[in-house]
Amino acid sequence: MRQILRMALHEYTRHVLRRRFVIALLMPLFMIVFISAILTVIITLVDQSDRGAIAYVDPVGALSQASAPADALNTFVRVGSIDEARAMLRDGTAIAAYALAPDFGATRSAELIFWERRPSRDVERAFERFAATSLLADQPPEIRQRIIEAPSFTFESSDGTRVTDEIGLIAGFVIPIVLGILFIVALFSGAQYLMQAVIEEKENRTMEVIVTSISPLQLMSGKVLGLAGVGLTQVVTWTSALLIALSLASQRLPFLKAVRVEPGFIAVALLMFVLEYLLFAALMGAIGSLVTSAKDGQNLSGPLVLLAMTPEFFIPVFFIAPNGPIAVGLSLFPLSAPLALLLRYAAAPVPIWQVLLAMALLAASVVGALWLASRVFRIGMLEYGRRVSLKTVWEGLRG
Amino acid sequence: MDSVISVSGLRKSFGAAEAVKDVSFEVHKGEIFGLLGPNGAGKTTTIRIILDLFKPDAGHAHILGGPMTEAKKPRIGYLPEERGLYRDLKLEDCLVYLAELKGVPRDVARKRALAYFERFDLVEHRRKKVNDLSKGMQQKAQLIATLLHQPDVLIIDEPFSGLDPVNTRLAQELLIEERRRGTTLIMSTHQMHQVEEMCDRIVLIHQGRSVLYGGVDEIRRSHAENAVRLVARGDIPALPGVTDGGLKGNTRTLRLAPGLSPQTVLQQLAGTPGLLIESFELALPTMDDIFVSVVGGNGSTARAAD
Repeated sequence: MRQILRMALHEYTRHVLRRRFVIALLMPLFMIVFISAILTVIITLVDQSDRGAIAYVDPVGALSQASAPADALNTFVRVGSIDEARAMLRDGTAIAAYALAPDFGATRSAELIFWERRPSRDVERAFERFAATSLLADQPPEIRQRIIEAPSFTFESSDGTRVTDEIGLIAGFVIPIVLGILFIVALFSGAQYLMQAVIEEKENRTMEVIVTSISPLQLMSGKVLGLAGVGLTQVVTWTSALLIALSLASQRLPFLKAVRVEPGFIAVALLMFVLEYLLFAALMGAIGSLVTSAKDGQNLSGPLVLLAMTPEFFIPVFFIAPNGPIAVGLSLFPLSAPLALLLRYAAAPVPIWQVLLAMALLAASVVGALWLASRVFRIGMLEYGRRVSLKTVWEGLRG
Repeated sequence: MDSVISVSGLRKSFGAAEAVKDVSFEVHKGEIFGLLGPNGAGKTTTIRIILDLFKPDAGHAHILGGPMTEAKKPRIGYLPEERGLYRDLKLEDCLVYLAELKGVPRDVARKRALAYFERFDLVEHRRKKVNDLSKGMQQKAQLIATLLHQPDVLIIDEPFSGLDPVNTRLAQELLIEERRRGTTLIMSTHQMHQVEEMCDRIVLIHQGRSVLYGGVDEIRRSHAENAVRLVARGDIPALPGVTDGGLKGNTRTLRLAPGLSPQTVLQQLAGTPGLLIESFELALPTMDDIFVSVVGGNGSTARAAD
């Protein structure tokens, strides 16, 4: 065990200190900071362009200044004529103007007038709200409130464990989907490291020296554990950065406040990811033992990558039937389990027994894959410069 | 004699290619054993079978009293022909790590490595990446990696390749010291003068078979013709039963008729007036000559006294 841990530590530090790893680790962080900065600038600009007076021509006196909300971004200025409103738009003292029809009382018709750029939908909503408040001034406040505010729905899962509103329903997808993408990126890049390392060490005979010190199973276990540590470092760093960015951004974007961040879910997701990483790394290590170049390895690893990504192709199915046979099947199949569970979790609560079963199956697959990888490694490690046929592997495994 | 390695009737094929056909030998405790043969003879395959990197098709290879096991690995040092160091690691870190995998505590490994670095003039280079070292330095580093865990058995493939004469001498001394410490060495090499200087016994493998096996001195004697080599000043007289075998440098070879002993010839020459004998020795063939004659011939099995 000591040798396995020593090897794992060696593999971990060797990869983590590489320049290309540091760049790969920091790149998404830069992206998060960059995107956050861009969003902040855009939101600030939009806010500023939406702030200002809205002029309105009200020939019949339908609207009342008393109905204007006190804390709004906009003020509402009644003007005598359309020409006056146009003058305000021209000299920038108003951002939009409305001309109420002379028969506004009967038709509720008004004309929007703007200069150069149509105001945002928020500006239009602000005026509509002001108009509605004015027109409903004689109603009791609660009636007025119910008419002006859109109806809101509360969604509750059949098992009662999840209650959310409309925004929360959509926002619930954010964390699982983003985490899924991060996992996939970390998984594939990390597994590529391992495959590459096995190919290189096989070619430069380091393997030959190592295998006269420890067993192939110890070697594979150490390498896979070390690489899993590398993957975990990536994902924990990215997830932390994402959560921090989310928390900062939600101060400006109320929508993001509805994003669920449940520590239990994040912990289960990380655990599933580590198991998936171990499984993938062991399989890629086995492939690395069989081939002589990274290109050959990529050809062989293609089907594995496809299987791991299968849930992505079934995203609509996960939303329509998160507990249907396809979604459940994919979340129990070890290679696709983590991503499938993330997507199911985004859509609906997942029965705990299925999570535990998926985890158990994945853990058992890791043990099996490590055994397989060590056997395949034993068969393939000394076939320098030669690609090992699957027939040879099969005969070796049976022998 | 205690046998540390015992190889018997070894056979190994890769597809249609038969790499080892019939190899047998034993290595005794505390000796330096030469594993010789031309390129492609099957030496490396034999070594890999001994180390359990390959399984033989037939025969057996026992080490330290039985088949290779995980428990025996820390007692064995292996230097492959093509170097097996992590090129992107710093020299010291790489060697310490490899020693740790053999079960040596890190601080002990570091201390031992430093002592070897001083001896091999590598102290200044210990923080450099292996990749940035010269070929000779890498070879020295590889040798150190093989010795750091103080193995009982050393299996070394071409240990002097890439070394200059000074470092070759140093490496040679180191291996002889190891032997004194009680280590058993199997050395595969093409440098026959090293074999003569260092090896107690050898096996010569040719086309997958062991064709020559035994003590170096016995093999040389068994391949010697009845001749002497002489360095002398003055004219060498014609002696009955003696023919001139030619002059090479200042050394003359004299071929003796069957039954005529070198002792008799020496007495006759010593009594010749005006002839000053500077050296007189039996004309034993070099291992190089024997290698060429065996490998260049039909490769039939020869066996000297064990």
